[in-house]
Amino acid sequence: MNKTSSLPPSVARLIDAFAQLPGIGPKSASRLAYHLLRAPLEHSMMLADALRDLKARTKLCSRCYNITESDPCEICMDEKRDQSLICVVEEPLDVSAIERVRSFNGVFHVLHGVISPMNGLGPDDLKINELIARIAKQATSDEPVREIILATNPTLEGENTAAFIQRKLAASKVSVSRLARGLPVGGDLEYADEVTLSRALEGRQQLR
Amino acid sequence: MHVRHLSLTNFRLYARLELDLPMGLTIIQGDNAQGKTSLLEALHFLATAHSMHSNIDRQVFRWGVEEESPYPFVMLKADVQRRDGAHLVELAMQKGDGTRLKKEIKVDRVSRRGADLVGQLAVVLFVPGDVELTAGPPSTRRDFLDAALSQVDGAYVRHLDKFNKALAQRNALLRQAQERRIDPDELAVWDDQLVPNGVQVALRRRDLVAQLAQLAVPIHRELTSNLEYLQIVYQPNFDPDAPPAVHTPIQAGLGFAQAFENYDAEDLEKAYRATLKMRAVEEMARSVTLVGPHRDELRFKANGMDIGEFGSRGQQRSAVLSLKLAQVAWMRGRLGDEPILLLDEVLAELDPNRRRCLLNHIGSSHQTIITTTDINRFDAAFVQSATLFNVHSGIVHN
Repeated sequence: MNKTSSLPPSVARLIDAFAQLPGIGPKSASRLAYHLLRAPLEHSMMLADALRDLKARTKLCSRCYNITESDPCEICMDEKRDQSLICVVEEPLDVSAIERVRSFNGVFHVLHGVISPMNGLGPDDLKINELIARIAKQATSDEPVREIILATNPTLEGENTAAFIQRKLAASKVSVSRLARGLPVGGDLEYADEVTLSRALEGRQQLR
Repeated sequence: MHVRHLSLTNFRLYARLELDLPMGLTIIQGDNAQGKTSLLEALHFLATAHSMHSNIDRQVFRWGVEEESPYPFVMLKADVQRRDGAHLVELAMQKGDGTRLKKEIKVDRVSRRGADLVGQLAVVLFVPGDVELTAGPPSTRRDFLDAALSQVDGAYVRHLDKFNKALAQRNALLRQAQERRIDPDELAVWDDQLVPNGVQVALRRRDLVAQLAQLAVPIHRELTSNLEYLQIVYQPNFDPDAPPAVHTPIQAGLGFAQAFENYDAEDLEKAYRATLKMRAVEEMARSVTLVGPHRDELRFKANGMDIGEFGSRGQQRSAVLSLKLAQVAWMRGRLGDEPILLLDEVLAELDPNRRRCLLNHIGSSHQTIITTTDINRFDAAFVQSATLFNVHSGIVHN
């Protein structure tokens, strides 16, 4: 039985639509819908336009597969960036995270997920073949790929995906690196768990 | 170690319980379905973060609690007195929307992960169904090994967890192989997760079994009036003959201390990979991982005869009793502290000789909790030495 069945259909439809979004339950969905009902018309129009443009204007960059409005994307077209250094990430949000750091001057490659057979995701469902093709294509250009940074998450699936890509690149001359794992900055040794601490010990750096 | 105070909320049939537990021997008497076993289960739950009966944690919620509250919760607390001082161990579970279940563990009021419960509270549980350990399906024996190790070895918990996750992914991949051509590298990367973690699990199980086997021999002699020589044999599922030096001493159940220093994980990883390779075609055909500690076996032999297959009911019971008492001694050695003994209706089904042997071993423990439906089954002197509780409909009387 639908709880919203006694409502006007147009309100019920919006509530149901909101409720399908991640992190939004039926209560939040109703609150959002009623907020819009009371708000000025421009408000709703702005939201409707934004929603329509989201799908109509965006596409995947044909080089890095990040979400973009112009193809190739701004990052790929940026001449100041080092095209020979590619950082491989799971999701477009990871690009924003690394961009916030402002210290990375290479380009990206977005996989759009990780290998997870339990969720029905194999290498062909991700942009792994595209990465390999990209490296091969760039090899003949004046700026061949020098290094791949595998920046997938340190989860079982993330590690696994990184290992798979590493295997696929074994034959190429490109050097492959993985993000370091260890202690968070501002963290406290005392509160680090054993796995993190042992990883931090393994990945220690020579000071002199 | 011993638990000084146990506090339960909405656990099984206890809406609310505050119970002071004494050191030494406690007997809990009550009719069936009054909450005797639930008390033991609560302590076991706090020690392992898992229910002893079901793999489904939500079943421990008190029946009817969902009608009373939209987000029902279960709370277990124990004041534990250990050699290193007094500690508070807490486990709370809350049901959320749909099938969500939030589990929170606190030690001394600080939030911890499940693996951090290791060593906080150690129990050895005897239940009537334990006799199935020798003759039942192999999974019951693996569960026994897991329960024993996960109370003292945090690394074991982590390796087992990673192994199980990698195994689930690998099996899913093997099933996909029916529908599409899979890249050999896809399988190889899961093997790289499966093998090292699987080897760590197997090594620790083998270490445990070798030590239990040695500890169980004199106990079993005592139980059977010197008639039986008990062997407990770990049979890892991947071919351990590949490094021959590794296998022989273990198979004989002898000299584990030396043998364990003689081989390393690397030898076993080679053996594991070789077996995976050998059975690759079969795994593809059956769409399931056939090699690994998830298929380990543990066998019990009395004077060379397999007890699980050929033993009498009495022999099976003795073997399990020897195993459990060996587990008590093993935990004592590993923790440097006495585990708590929880005996659910077990004494009643033992003959006088076995009962005497069990009671002898109980003597050294700091805390033993026994449940029974009939106090008259014990002799008067034994009852005198114990603190007695009566349980009726989830209420405990002193």
